[in-house]
Amino acid sequence: MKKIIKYFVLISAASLIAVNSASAEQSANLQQSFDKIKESVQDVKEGTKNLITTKESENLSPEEKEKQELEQRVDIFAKILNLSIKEAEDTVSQLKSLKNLEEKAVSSKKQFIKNFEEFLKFYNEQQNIMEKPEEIDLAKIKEIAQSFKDWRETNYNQELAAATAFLLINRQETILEMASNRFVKISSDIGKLKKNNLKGVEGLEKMLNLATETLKDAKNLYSEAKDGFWLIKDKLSIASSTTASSTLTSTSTPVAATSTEEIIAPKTSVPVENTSSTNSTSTPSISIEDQFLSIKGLIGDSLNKIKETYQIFIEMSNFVKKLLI
Amino acid sequence: MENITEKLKKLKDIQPDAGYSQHSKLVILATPISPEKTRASALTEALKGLKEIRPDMDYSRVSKTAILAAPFIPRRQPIFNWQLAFTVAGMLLVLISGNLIHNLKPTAPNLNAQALETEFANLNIDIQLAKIDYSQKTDETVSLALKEITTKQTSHLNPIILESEQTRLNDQPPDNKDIDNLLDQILL
Repeated sequence: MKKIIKYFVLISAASLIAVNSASAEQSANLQQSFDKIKESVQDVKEGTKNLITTKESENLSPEEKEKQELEQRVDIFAKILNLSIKEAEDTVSQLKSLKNLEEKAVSSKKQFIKNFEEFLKFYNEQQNIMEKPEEIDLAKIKEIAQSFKDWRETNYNQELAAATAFLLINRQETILEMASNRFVKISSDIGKLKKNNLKGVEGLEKMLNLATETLKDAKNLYSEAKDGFWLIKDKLSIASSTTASSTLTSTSTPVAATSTEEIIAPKTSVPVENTSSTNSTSTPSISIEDQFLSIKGLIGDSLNKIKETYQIFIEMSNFVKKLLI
Repeated sequence: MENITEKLKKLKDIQPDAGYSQHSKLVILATPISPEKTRASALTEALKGLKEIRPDMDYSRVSKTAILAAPFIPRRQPIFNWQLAFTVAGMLLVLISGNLIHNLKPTAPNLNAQALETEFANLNIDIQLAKIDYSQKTDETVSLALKEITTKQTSHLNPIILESEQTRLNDQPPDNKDIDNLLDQILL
């Protein structure tokens, strides 16, 4: 019997340590990838600053200026590619880490991974071009940069916004589940304290009511974001299957999931463009990228509500400590 | 098994008759001991001789009768197991006292501040919020950089330049003190 208890305690402790260390590892990975992206953004900023300084310089001869500007333009573009690769790799890695998804989310996950792997191939092709700087003159680098800018605006930015919204929605589901479980456990503790007629338990109940509200808000914002996301995705699928013509600028670049910027408005607060409207005075069209960005905003609000909920839980913890002394 | 043991114990009380006893002793004593044999082998020889000895008919009959006549006593099952009773009582005592202590001193194990803080940290909410804010900045930086690559003239309202100049101004030590000192020197 002693042995069984001993093993049970050991297994419980080991699993608890394993869960905590897995979470800590996940946090460390998230932070690490974020730091790498921030570092790359800083590199691009530094390169841009140097180019601007050269452009404004009056101490250089026109030849020197042109040579320096060309080198700096090539350097910035290489840094942009480096940042883009890190961003795409981070997105793929985060997508791959998503578990226990619904059926339609599984197929979206696969599609996003496929698209971002295509983006990575495209970046590698661009890097290969940049490996021969002697073949690149001012006109060529300007052309490459312009083409890359157009591609980002037409394909990449929208797909990144969609993938980010998708990632946030699926992570938020897990976060809400954990917060709800904690809420149920805390409610049960307070129920027991009330049963024991603990003096001051009313204060805890008030705090719990506040937590109920913030958790409810977090859930509502999440539901709104989730519904809005799938509505946009579904409309995009319909639009891409019915519209044969593509507005994409380059056929050699990876193609995103959509070929249209207009979709039918949903019944949520997510700003989705309504093409059925014939009113010429209607609000200006909202790009799909902005629609996905608004979903990101909703999840951000939901995350803040969860943060508030945990702050209330921690306040309750300090309060109950005083009551139980 | 126990029954057979009981029966064998009873056999102890049966004594061989005097004649049989006398005859056995004589056989043992009469066994010749050759000088070249060791003591151990002599003893073995003597014991071999005992193999030949058979109890007489009467002794054999009395023994069999005694074994067969022994009454069968079934093994008694204990009506009350004290060991088990003490164990159960102990366990009940622990449970009751534990419950009493628990009821007397209320606790809120799910409101442990440290556990809540760890759980919150593991949700990675702050990193995700920071990433949401930063993603816009990434796009802006790339767009501005690409614009600078593609255009000949620089935009003086480029946020990268404005940000950089603001940082430079913040990093510079304030000259006000030096100016104040110089003014003081002129005035005094």
